[in-house]
Amino acid sequence: MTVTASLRSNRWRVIRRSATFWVGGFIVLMWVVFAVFGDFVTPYDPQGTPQDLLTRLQPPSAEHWFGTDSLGRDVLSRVLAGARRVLTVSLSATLLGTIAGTTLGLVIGYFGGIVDDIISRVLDAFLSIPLVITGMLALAALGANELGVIIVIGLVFTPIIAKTVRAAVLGERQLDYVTAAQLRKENPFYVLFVEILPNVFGVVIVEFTVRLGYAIFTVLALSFLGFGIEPSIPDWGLMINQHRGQLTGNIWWPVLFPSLAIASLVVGVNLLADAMSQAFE
Amino acid sequence: MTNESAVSSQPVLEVENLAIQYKIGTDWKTAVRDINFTIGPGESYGLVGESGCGKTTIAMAIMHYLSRNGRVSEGSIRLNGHEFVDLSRRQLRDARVNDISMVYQDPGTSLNPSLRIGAQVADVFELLGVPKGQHRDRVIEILKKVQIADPVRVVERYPHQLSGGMLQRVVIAMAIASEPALLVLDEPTTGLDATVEAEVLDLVAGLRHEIGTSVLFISHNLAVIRKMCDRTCVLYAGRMMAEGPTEEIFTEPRHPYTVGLLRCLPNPDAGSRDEMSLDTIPGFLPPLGAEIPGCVYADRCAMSEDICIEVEPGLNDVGGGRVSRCHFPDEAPNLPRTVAADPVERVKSGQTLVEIKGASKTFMQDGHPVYALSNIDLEIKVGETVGLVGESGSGKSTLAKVLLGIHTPDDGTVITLSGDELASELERRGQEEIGAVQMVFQNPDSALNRRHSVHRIIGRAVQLLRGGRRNEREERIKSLLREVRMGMQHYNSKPRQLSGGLKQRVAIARAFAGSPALVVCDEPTSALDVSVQAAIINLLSELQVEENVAYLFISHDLNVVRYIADRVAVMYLGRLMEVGTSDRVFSGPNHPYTEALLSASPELGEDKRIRLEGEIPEPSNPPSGCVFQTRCPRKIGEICETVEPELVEAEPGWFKRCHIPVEELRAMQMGSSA
Repeated sequence: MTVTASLRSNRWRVIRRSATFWVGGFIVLMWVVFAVFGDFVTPYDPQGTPQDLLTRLQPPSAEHWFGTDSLGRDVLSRVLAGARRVLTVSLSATLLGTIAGTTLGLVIGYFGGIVDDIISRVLDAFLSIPLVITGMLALAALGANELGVIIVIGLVFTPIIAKTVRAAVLGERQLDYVTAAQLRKENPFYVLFVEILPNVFGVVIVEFTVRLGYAIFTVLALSFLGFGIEPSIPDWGLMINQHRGQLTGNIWWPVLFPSLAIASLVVGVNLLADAMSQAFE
Repeated sequence: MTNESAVSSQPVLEVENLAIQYKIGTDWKTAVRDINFTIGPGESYGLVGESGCGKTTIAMAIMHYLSRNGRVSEGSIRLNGHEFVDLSRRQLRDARVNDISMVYQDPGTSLNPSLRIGAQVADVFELLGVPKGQHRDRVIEILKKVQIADPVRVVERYPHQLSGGMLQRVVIAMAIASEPALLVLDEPTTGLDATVEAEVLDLVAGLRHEIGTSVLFISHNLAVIRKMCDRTCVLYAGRMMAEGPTEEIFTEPRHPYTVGLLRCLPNPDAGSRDEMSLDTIPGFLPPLGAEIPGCVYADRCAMSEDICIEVEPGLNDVGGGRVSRCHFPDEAPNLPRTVAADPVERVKSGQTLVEIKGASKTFMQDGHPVYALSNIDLEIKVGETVGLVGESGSGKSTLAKVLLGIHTPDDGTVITLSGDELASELERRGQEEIGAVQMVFQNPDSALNRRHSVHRIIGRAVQLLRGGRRNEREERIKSLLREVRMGMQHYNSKPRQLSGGLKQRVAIARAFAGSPALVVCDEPTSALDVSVQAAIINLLSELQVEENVAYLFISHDLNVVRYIADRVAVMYLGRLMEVGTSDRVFSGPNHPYTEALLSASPELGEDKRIRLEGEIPEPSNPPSGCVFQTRCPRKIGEICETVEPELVEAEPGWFKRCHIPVEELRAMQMGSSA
């Protein structure tokens, strides 16, 4: 009795006590702040001004901590401003995939039978296609804008999340509270979203944070490859792509700093995901 | 019971001043303290108590299996005179191989699912240093010793291919292979069917005499402990409350907790619920590590006085080798009742409420039919309780689910409610019909949505089964809570904030939301502690009178069925084998299957001793003739194998499905019990 009674408070205690959570949370929060308030904190205009062309490819210095790029724009400003795009696109995509995947997982897990068999096989087939390649193909066909990127990543995540949620729902469906709901002729929408969903929400949260890490990688990989991005918008993937040719000329700063930004954000999100799965699983 | 075994010199196990702590958060909290007992050679010692009393903790400490956040903080455990608390890893390993073995509750998790039985048992002989060439012979020998009929075939099997009873035999075989000085059995039969439990208990008792090992037997089941142990210790909240020779502990208890526990159990001698209501133990177990200056039981004890709250009593000698941790041990037998003994008055109308006719249910499994129910006729009258008993797999739950509309029965099944035919599918039943037939589940943890408040759980059922405006529904929720004797302080609680008994009350309130005429109770008390069980049974009895509701009461606990049921139906392999009034069924003579069930019950079975062999046949391939003939100890001959007997009314109101005439059954059964 006492064990179950303290389960929820325990969960938050586990999270609060976890160094992983605080470190990951700090890193992610930092990038979220830059994404939201980027315009106020960037030392220079990330889009650059015509005068910038006079100060092209300068190494890190007191004025330009991270140096300047091939158009003379401040790399620090562009890195900070770049957080907005990657975060909005990957968060939207993950949110889309989580909502669609959770709904699909609830439905096939609860109703089971032939619907489950067919959809699960289709999902398996879907899962066997590599993410970036699917994304490139779909974007090439759909036209490469941000909405396209969000939809493509969301759709690719849907079956992955659906399968995880389905497994959790299968466990819940065995429990008698679901039978009790049937015994009062409960409507399926209530059973799925009011009875079962709150009990699998931990799984959904864990899945969301794990997927967010992958989404960030995918968004940046696609923009590195030139998909779904307008060249003027500050974006880490694009920055790396535009300057990777100059690495051989010992011009490392326009590549290194966006790379570090990517690494820190992905590590931060993954730390959060670890903390969540420790608490919820 | 064998007391003479305790005379020999050196005790096998000596536990002295044992205290065990668990780390909760940053603090070490004492779970168990001041435990002292010894087990002599060949002696069987019982630890009994409700959940949370510390019995498994003690066993784990003895075995060095405490979880990482647990430690022995004080005291000593000596095995054959050698200190056992601070052993090196090597010494511990040797001790586990040679001197001490343990059998756990669930045999399914004690065995490796991916290894054959033979290989797993052979591992034990490997550890014992038996040469490889002899392994197979030794394995088969030890399996024979635990009465596995066909050991040559069993060694080739994987665990999932064997039944629970068979697996527990294998685990016991592995435990006794080294002929250990001490065998620890932790709830070894909990979760097994009563018939299987009886066999396993017989086996343990037999082996104990054969190899002379000492036994530490842990159980929550007083009847099992009473049957199996020479001496017993009653634990409560990590403290020894009473200790002494088992018979005296149970027949002349000198501690109010023991007295209270025994009164909570339905007892054939005390009569059914029309004669006497059960006594209960109010209140809750103190939380782990609570600092209690006085007696830990004082706040639940009906005879506690000021001194009990202020001063903790010592273990007082109360004569006959017994000790009792009570200030007033001599007054314990006169413990005042907490519940009035007067039963609730009932008026039985005798009108038919539900009539099930020709109910059959066939499942299709991989293209093969599985006959789960076969032609069941059963009548339930207004306001009566029909007990439904049988081993697991006998079709009790399937019958309940057909009645509830969860399973759609085969064509030809007719179920009527108050004379009107009830649609077989839930979807086609109207709101009133659905509200009229409800269910209370076995495990409230599973039956209540752990994310929903009491208010939502009951409120949603009221909304769908009864309807009405919002304020009317609120009134109904409150009156339901009052009916199940719950205070308004629980209105917004989540299930995790409630004790097991309170959770079951919420589940009962939900079932009564639509003013049902029939409630199916599927083992409603078997997941609860004894003291809580009594309160729930009393509640169900009282509600039955207040609401004039009928119960279909499924239970494996025959004493509970005997106490609460007006009539009893016995099922085997999807068929009714015997139906009759509770008095008639429990006084006999019975269908041979019922006889076996009654014999298997540790409380009831003292004088009737027949045992069933083998397992329930596959329902996809039922035996020819009488379905029970393959296991029947009373089989009379060929007719049993060729002709399936009908369920006939052999006496007024008593039905049996057996070829043997009632007079012959009487001669066989009453004769063998004399």
